[in-house]
Amino acid sequence: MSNLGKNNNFKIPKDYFDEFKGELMAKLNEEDSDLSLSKEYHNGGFKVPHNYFETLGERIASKIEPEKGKVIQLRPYRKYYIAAASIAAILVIALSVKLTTGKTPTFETLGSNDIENYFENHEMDFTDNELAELLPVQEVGINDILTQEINQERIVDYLDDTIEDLQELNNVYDEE
Amino acid sequence: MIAEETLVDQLKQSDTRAKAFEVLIDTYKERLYWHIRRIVLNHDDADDVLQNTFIKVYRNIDGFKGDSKLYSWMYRIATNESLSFLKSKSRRLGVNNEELHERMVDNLQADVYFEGDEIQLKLQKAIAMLPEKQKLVFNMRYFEELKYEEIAEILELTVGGLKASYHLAVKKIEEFLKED
Repeated sequence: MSNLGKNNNFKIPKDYFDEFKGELMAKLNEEDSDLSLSKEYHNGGFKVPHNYFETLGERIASKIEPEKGKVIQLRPYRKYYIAAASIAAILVIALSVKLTTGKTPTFETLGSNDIENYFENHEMDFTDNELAELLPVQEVGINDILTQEINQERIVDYLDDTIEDLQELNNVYDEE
Repeated sequence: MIAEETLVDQLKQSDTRAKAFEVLIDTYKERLYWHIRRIVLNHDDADDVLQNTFIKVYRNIDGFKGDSKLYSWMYRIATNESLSFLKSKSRRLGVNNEELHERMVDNLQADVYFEGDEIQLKLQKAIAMLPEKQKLVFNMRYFEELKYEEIAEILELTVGGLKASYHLAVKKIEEFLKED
């Protein structure tokens, strides 16, 4: 007890020095936690998951593939053939599309069946006379219109029945 | 601590590359992480960007000529990666840059890895309103405590311009914090 000195009237709690170390360490731990808080505060309140930095290196290393040897192509010219074939195919397709789609249909290019089908399938407002005017008569023979040949006797009989003066019709025809 | 030139040499040689890369990660992971985190704010995003940064460093180390310091070069990669990440994120969400930053700060309140108090949250809101360059300069100077010369080398800007940017940023943040 020599450390207390002769005139020491101060007293200390019982077992103070025995408990001092433990209390001091507890206080230091508290300060450590305060220090870590202040570090977070310095980080603007941002935190990271536990052990994040300890495992980061391994995770990055696992993402980096081991270096591979240089790959030498067996037939390097092959890619040029493929490229040329692709370009040719594209050109052919483009031209054929243009040829088939870019052509404007004309009356001459229509098939006669197409015209017939059109007239059959569509209701037309043309009268027989109007249709007759559209047809180029000079180039049309009687057999282009009639499917059955009519013999001349029947024609003469028809005209005889319908026309009052057959002789007059002959005169008109002769004048023309 | 290993000298930067030695580390770069080791990174460029295939037999020492792997070991040197481990040293590189250990040396710079925390600094780069916090730099990225302050730009993207969210931990998962920061983790993605940080890994991409190190992978880019690894793959492009042969192209590093030593014109700038290694850490400046890495910081530049980290900055560009972070900004590219935010751009693609805003495209993916169909929002502009300002709207994205507003959303990022709003999300902080529900982030388990953010324990900032009201003032810190308000500071993040103020930073989010800054133009991109002022935001970067403010974070690097205020939080990361980098010197103007270091920031100038990383961002490839002049020290005078940086000081002006920082001054403007501080003024805007002060005005924002005085509101309410």
